[in-house]
Amino acid sequence: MSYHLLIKKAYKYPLPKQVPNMDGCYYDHKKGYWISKTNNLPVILDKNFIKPRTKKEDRETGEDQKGE
Amino acid sequence: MNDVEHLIVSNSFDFTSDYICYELQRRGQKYLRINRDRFSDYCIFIDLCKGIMNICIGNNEYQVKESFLKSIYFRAPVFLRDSYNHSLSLAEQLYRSQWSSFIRNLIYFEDILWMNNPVSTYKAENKILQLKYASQIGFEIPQTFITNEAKIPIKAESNYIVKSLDTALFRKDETELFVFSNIVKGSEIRESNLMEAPIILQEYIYPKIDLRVTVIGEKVHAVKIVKNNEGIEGDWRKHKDDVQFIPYDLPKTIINRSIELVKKFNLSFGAIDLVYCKGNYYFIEINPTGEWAWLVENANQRIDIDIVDMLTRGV
Repeated sequence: MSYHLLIKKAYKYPLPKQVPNMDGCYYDHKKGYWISKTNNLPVILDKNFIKPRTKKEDRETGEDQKGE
Repeated sequence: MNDVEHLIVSNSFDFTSDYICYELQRRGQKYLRINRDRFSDYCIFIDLCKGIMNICIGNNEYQVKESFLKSIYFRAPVFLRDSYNHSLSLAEQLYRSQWSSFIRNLIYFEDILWMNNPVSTYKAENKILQLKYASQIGFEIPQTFITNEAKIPIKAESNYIVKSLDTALFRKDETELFVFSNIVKGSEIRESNLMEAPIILQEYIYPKIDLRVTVIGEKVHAVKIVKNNEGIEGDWRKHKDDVQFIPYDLPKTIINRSIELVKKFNLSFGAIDLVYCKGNYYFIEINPTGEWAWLVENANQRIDIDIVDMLTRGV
């Protein structure tokens, strides 16, 4: 029996690393966001920080991380 | 003790929630973000007689009570599928199953603005029902079949869209597999193995332009997704590094239908995928937990501002 059509057509990629590298930043529990150690600004305001660029970011887990 | 007006339920690596917290902080709001991956760092105590939830994080104490709470921004999976998983330790299985239940139980807080209530999200995640409601509201929908039967009356020479009924993410050894929407010839479908699981089979609408419509209450943002200013064949996510997101003016009727669909599912937020083809707007799907931060970055659509406006207004 061949693979199911969905499996056959599935996009395959190496298992992504589970945790992003956040060197140079820290998470502020009180503020509820990540801050750059360099300039004390939220990392989301940092042009060099890799922010969510597409609706799926870099991992295809479904939009509410259903597949996590 | 800090009283909480806005509770954000998230994950510490969910940068989309950073946008919301930053804006709440900028407005001087009383909010708390709790992260599902950090529950071991929190001390949580719920007194049901008093109807209060105390959360201690380090030296900071927070109190959540229904009379003061205005909104919950829920950025967590409604379906968590792998807590019973042989690769997880017992402690991990316990953590996942019980904390998942804990955050679902936050629906205890009823008279507040939810974005979105997980009960509503659970219902809205069902694609067959989405298509039914969208059609009832007046959207065009592609001709759609759901089947595990390959020998169906489709044209061998025509192209069809084949996709999964639910998010299909699999793992095999060191490889992950994700099922996008695929263009498949009728002849190939008819010769395929479908028996093990149903698929969604849809009419292939082409040429088309993909549209992403983000609805926050009565606010609507739309972008068209193009490559070199042309529509993309098949699933645009396969080309995500090469596409442009361009703000798009929807006709008033489509704006109204989008708002109505979100309301029909009792949601306050919804991310709707449409396609435009030859003067018609076809509904593809709605995602009640859809991502949006990429649109702030790429299309300057300040969805973060609209979300915080709604959270701070409450019900």
